[in-house]
Amino acid sequence: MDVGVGGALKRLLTVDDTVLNDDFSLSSDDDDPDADKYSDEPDVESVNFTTAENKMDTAKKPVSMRSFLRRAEREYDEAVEKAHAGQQDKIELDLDDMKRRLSRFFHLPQNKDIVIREFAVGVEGRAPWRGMVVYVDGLVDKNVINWAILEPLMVWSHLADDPKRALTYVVDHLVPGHQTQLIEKWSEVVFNVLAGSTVVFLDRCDAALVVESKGWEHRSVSTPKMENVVRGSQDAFTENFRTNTGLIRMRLRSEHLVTEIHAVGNLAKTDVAIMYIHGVTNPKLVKEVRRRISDIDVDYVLDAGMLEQFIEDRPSMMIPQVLVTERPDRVAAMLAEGYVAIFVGHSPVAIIVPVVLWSLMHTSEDTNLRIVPGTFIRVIRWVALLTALLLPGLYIAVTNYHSEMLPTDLMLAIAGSREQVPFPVVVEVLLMEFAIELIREAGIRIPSVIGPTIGIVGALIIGQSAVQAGIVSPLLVIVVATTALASFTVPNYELSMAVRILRFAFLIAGAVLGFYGIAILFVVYVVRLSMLKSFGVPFLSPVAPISGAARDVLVRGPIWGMNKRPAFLNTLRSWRQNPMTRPWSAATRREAGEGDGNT
Amino acid sequence: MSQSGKRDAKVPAAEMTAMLIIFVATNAFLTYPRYISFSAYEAAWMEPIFSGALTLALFYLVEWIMRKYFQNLDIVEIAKEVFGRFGAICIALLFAMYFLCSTAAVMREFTENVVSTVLPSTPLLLVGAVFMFAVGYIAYAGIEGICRTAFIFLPILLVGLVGVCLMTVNWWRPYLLLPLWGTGPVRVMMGAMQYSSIFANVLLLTIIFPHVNNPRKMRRIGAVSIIVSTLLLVFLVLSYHMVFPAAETGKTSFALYRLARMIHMGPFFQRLESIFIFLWVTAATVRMAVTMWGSAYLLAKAFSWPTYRPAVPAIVLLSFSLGMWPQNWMDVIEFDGTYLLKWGWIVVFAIPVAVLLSGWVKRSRHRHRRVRHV
Repeated sequence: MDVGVGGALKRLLTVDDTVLNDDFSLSSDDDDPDADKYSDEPDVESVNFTTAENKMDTAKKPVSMRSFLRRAEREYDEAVEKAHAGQQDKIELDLDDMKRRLSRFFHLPQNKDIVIREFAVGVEGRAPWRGMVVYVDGLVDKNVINWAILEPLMVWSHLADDPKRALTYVVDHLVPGHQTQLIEKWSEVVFNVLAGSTVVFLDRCDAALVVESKGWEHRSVSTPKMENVVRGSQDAFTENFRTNTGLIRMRLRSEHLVTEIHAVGNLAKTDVAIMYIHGVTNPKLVKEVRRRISDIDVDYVLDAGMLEQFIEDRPSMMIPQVLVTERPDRVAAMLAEGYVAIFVGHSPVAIIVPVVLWSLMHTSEDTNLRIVPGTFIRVIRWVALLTALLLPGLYIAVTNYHSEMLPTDLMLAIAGSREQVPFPVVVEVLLMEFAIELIREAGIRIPSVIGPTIGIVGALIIGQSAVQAGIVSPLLVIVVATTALASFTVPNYELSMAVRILRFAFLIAGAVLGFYGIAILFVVYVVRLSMLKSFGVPFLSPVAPISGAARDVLVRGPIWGMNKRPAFLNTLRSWRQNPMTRPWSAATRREAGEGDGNT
Repeated sequence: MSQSGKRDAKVPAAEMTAMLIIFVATNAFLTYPRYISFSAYEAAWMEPIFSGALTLALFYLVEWIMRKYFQNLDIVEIAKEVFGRFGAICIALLFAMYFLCSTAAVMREFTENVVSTVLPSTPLLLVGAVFMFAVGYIAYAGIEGICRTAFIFLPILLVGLVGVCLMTVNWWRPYLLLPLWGTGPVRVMMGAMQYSSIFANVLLLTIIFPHVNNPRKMRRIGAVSIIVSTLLLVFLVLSYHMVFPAAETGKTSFALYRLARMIHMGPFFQRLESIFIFLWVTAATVRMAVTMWGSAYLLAKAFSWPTYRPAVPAIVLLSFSLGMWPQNWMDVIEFDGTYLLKWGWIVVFAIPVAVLLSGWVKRSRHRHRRVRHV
C-alpha cells in the first residue's frame, strides 16, 4: 500500500470507487501467481488441491435442489479423491524415493511437526544398510524411539549377510517394541504416523515397521464434572482414547467385551470405537451402529457431540436420542444390559445407543441406593422435570385465565404482590427467565478467577433489586428460582438444555391459551416423542409401546427382582440373573416355591 | 432393527385397549350424558350398561367372523370381495363421511365447551384451529402414534374421571336416583339402543383388525375396553345424578364440567374445573384423531391410495369447516343428537354386521360349492 505523501495526494485527487483500503483480503485473487503457495520456499513436489468448489462461480443460475445436491456431492468427492491421491500406492523400495514422498505428503520442510530421522543399521559387512524413522513430534514417547528402536538398530545390531537384511528379522530379533506391525501400504504409513506411532523404513524393503510409541500429554483420570454422585465411583473419562476404553475393561472384565475401532474423516482421521458384549448385544444393533458410523462422509469429526448428530435418527429434535455420559461405571452397566457404547477420538465422554427417555432421567447412583431412597430421588427428578418444563407456563395461565381455581387468600396475595408491577405477567416472566438464562450462561463462560462474582450479581439483581424496583413480583422470583433449581435436577445435560428451550414454548402456549394451550402442546409433544426412535427402538419404550421388564422406568425396580434385560433391546441373552437371586434367604425360597421368577 | 423398508403398523393389545377405552369414555365430556338423562331420567345410568352389553355381543360376533373368515382383511377389503369395487367405495365413503361428521361435531362441541368455560374472551376460530392442528398432527402419526398416546394418557383419564366423581362425594344424595327405572324399562331400553352408537368399537374393530399385533387377543381387547368404558360412564352418570336432580340433568350439555365446578373439599381444594382441561384435551384429541385417521384410512383403502397421509390435511380443513358451519352451539347439539347419536347405530353396528354376514354367507357358499365339485 502506497503511504508516501505523493501517494496520499494522488489518492486524494483521484476519484476511484474501486480502490479499497484493505491490508489483506481472503477473497480469490487471480492476479497473484503465488496465491496458492503456502510459503516462499520451493515445494518438493506440489499437489494441486484446487477443485471446482474453490472457483468463484459468478454466474448464479438457479438450479433444482436435486442437481444442486448432485453437483455438491461430485465436488466433494473430487476434493476427497485429490486429497487421497496416491495413498493406495505401495511403499517405495528406495529409501530416497520414500523420503521424497514423505516430504511431499507431509509438506516438509515447512511442516516442522514431522520428524524424519535417518540412520544406519549396525552391520559388519562393507555394504551399509540405511534406514529412517518417521514420527510426529509431540505425539510420541521419545524414550521408546531412543531405547526401543534407534539404539538396538544402530548400536546393538551386527548384521552380517544379506538374508538377515529383512524386516521380519528386524521385528523378530532387533526391535523390542511391545507392539509392532508390518505394513505394506502407504495409506497405513500416513495413518500410523498421525496416530502417534513411529514408522521405521529400511532401504530395499517394500514394507515398513510400525512401532507403537504414543506418548502425548493428557489429563489424568479425575472426578466427573457433570454427573456427580454421592455413592458410587468418582472417576470419569479423560481426553485419552485408550485410557477411556481401559476404564471400561477394568470394570467389565469379560472376554466377550469387544472393541471395534473404525476411523472417520477424510481430511483427518478420528478413531471411533464401538464397544459391545458379544453374545448379549443384538448383532443387528451392532451392524446398524457400524453402518451409520462407516457411512459418515465428512472431512473431520472432532468430538462425540459432533458424531452423535451424524448418527442420530432425528438430529433436529431437541431431545437427545443417544445417551452421553462421562462415567465409566454407567457405560459398563449399560454394556452388560446389551447396549452399545461408542468412543470418539479423545473425547472425554462415551455415547450409548439406543436410548429411551426414561434412561435419560436415571443416574448411576440410583442402583447403589436402597430401593426406597432410589425410588424417592427418581420421583423427585420426574417432578422436577415437569416443574422445569411447565411451572412458568402454569403460573401465567393461572394468573391470566384460571384465577378462580386459586383460593381467595392466595389470589389476593398474588394480586397484592403484583400491584406495583407495571408489566403484564408474561413480560415479567420472560424478563426473569432471560435474566436466569444470562446468569446460567455467564456462569459457564466467566473466567474462574471472577466466578464468585456471578453469584453475588445474580442474587442481587434477581433476588432483591428487581423486586425493590417494582419490576417483578416477589412470588415470581420464587417461581423462577424453583424452575431453575428444578432444571438443574435433570441429570442429562442435553435433556436439560431441551427442557430449558421447551419451557419457553409452554410459557407462550400458557400466555396465549391458558391451560388449554399447555395441554394441547403437551399432547402434541408426547405424540412426537412416541413416534421417535433411537436406533430402531421406540423412544418411549418400554412404556409405549409396552414391553416387558418395565420395573426400572419411572421408579427404581428391586435389583434382586429384575431378572431380565430390557425387552426392547432384543438381546441374545434375555435373563440377566438367576430368578432366585437370594437362595440363602428363607423368604426368597418360600416365594420361589409359590411362583416363578418375577421379571 | 433396520429402519429401511415399509411395514404395516402393528399395535400391541394394551395400547389398542387404551385407545378404545378413551374413544368411548370421551363421551362423558360431550352431550351423551345429556341425552341419556333426557331419555331415562333417574335410570340414565342403566343405558350405558345395556348399550355396552349389546356392543359386547356384536363385538364377539364380528370378531368371530373376521377371525374365522377374513384374517388380515379390513371392512373395505371385505366389502370389495362381497359387493365389488364400486360397492366397497360406497361403503367406505359412508363410513368416512360418518367419521368426518363425527369429528366436525365433536370439534365444535368441544371448542364451544372450552370457550364457554375457561377461555370466554378467546375467538372460537383460534381455539378450534389449534385443536384441529393437534388432532391432525396425531392422526398423521398413524394408528401406532394414536394408540401409544392413548396408552400414555389413559391413567390420567382414569384418575381424572374417577377423581371428579369421588370429589363430589359430599354432594351425593342417593335418593335422587329413585324411582329406579326412571322413565320406564321400555324407554330405557329404547334409549340404550338409540344411543349405543357411542360404542363405535364394532366399526373400529372392522377397520383396525389387520393392525392388531396379536389378533388372538382381540376378544380380550374388546371385552376389557367395553367393560371399562361402560363402568366409567356408569360411574359418571351415577355421580351426576346423585348431585343434580334428573329433571335438570337433561338440560345441561357439559356434565363433567358441572360436576367439577361443584368440588369443594375445604377452602383450598375447590373449583378445580380448570385442572380438568388437561383431561378433556387429552381425551378429546385422541378420540378425534381416531375418527380422523379412520376417515383418511378408509378413503385411502377405497381408492387404493398407497398412503392415507396426504388426505389428513384435507380432512382437517374439511372437518374444521363443517364444524364451524352451524350458526351456534345448539344447532350442533341438535344435529349431533338427531342424526349422529340417534341414527349412528346404523353405521356403527348395522352396516358392518350386514357386510360381514354377507361375506360370511358368500364364503360359506363358495366353500360348499368347492366341496361339491371335489
